[in-house]
Amino acid sequence: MRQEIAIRGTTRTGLVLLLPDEGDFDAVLERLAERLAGSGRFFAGGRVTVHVGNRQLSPADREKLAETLQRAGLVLLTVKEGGDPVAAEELRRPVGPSAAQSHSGSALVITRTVRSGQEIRHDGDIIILGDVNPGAVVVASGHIVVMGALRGVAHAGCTGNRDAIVAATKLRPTQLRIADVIGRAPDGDAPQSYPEVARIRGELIVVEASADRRQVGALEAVSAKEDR
Amino acid sequence: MGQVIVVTSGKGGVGKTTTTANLGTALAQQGNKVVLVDADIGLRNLDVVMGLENRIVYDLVDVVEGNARLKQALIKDKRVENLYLLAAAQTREKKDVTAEQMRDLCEQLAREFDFVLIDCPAGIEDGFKNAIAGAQKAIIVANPEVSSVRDADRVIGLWDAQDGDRSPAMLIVNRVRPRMVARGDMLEIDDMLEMLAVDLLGVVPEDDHIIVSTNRGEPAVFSKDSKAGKAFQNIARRLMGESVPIMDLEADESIWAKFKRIVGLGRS
Repeated sequence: MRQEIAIRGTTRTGLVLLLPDEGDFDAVLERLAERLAGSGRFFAGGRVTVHVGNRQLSPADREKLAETLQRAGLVLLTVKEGGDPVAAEELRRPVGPSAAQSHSGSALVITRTVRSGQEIRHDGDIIILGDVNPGAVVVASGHIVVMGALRGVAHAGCTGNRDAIVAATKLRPTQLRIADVIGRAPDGDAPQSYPEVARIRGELIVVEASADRRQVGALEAVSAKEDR
Repeated sequence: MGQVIVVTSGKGGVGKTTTTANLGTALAQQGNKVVLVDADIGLRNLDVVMGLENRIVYDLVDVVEGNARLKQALIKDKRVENLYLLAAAQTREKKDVTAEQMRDLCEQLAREFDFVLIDCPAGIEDGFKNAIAGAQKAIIVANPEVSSVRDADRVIGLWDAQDGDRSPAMLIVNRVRPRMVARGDMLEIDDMLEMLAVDLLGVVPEDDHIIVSTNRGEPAVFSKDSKAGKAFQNIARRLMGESVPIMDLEADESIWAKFKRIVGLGRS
């Protein structure tokens, strides 16, 4: 029996959303709305196949589900009930740590400066050989590694993988997001000149020197929601 | 074929029109055949800065719509040989011209002139898209301010994303105040270059003379004692392929500051 909400990206069918089998459906929808809101605009425009497991949805429930998705800019494609083979496969897939690894075969490599107004989105890891300037946005379902200065906004593990990292030779982001946690550099904090890695520790994004993993400092939390 | 160069910035008020007017005049003074095109339809300024406002009969929109031949619309400068202006229409809008029409126009002009300088409107909408449509080179004008650098970065990204035969963008840092830079109150040019990752075409100091010359309709390059004018002269020579070192803006420091620097007390 599934207890958590899981969002998966697939290239062919769009997004796959797995909802818990048990519990009050309205509560599930509430958690779903919260989860989607925490992911910013990443999913906007996405088409979703929703697996509800053993639950039987009434027409009213379906309506509410579509509405919840619509508020996050998503389009409900189909609702699948019962023992769907795809859902069964999805359910077997481990959640958490290995979720990013499932995309690890498909890293996107960018070999130029990502400038203001440009947006890189990729279902998998993103490696950038160049800078990410202020006003640029990089969103990945896996890790983000910048061989250069990261000055824009980066969102790693955007489909909910809290083990995703953001690493950069010069880590000076306007804002960092990992999964559903959003952080920004503390005001007036002197930037470091060595490569750093940002990851989630507890409920915060922390930044560590990439070499010896010595903790350098925690980013200020903008919002840290726990939905599982 | 001449070079078609667009002068752009994203942000308004950084000195696109001043740069276009001065560079064009300087290039013409060096013996090149130059035409300045004001692509800021509806908000034309270049004619005023050039002091040619009262000579406009036909404008850019008249030419693309076929109401006038190109030759009729070109306004000859009153001071320099080989310098012409194609004015923008003031009573029309940006959408009255298409990118295709601008491309054709630039091609026609490039056949007759060594340099076609296009004064781009601020912003990144239709006016910008039209202005860059026919250009092979882009001069990005930026002030040493964070907001200006952000917009310059955005515009360089849009320039790079265009297809066709285009050279990498070149940067002019305009309105630099050396003392403020030295105090750390203004962005350093090196920091700007590091972020924008483009070639530096020139550095132009802040110069009160520009305001006077703009109001008089007389580009600063005509004045011997304008520092900005001198900088624009240098930039013109660089555009012609000469290797001219970037002007040392520290040269105007006081004797006391110079003394302190020499004995190692002042800023390095």
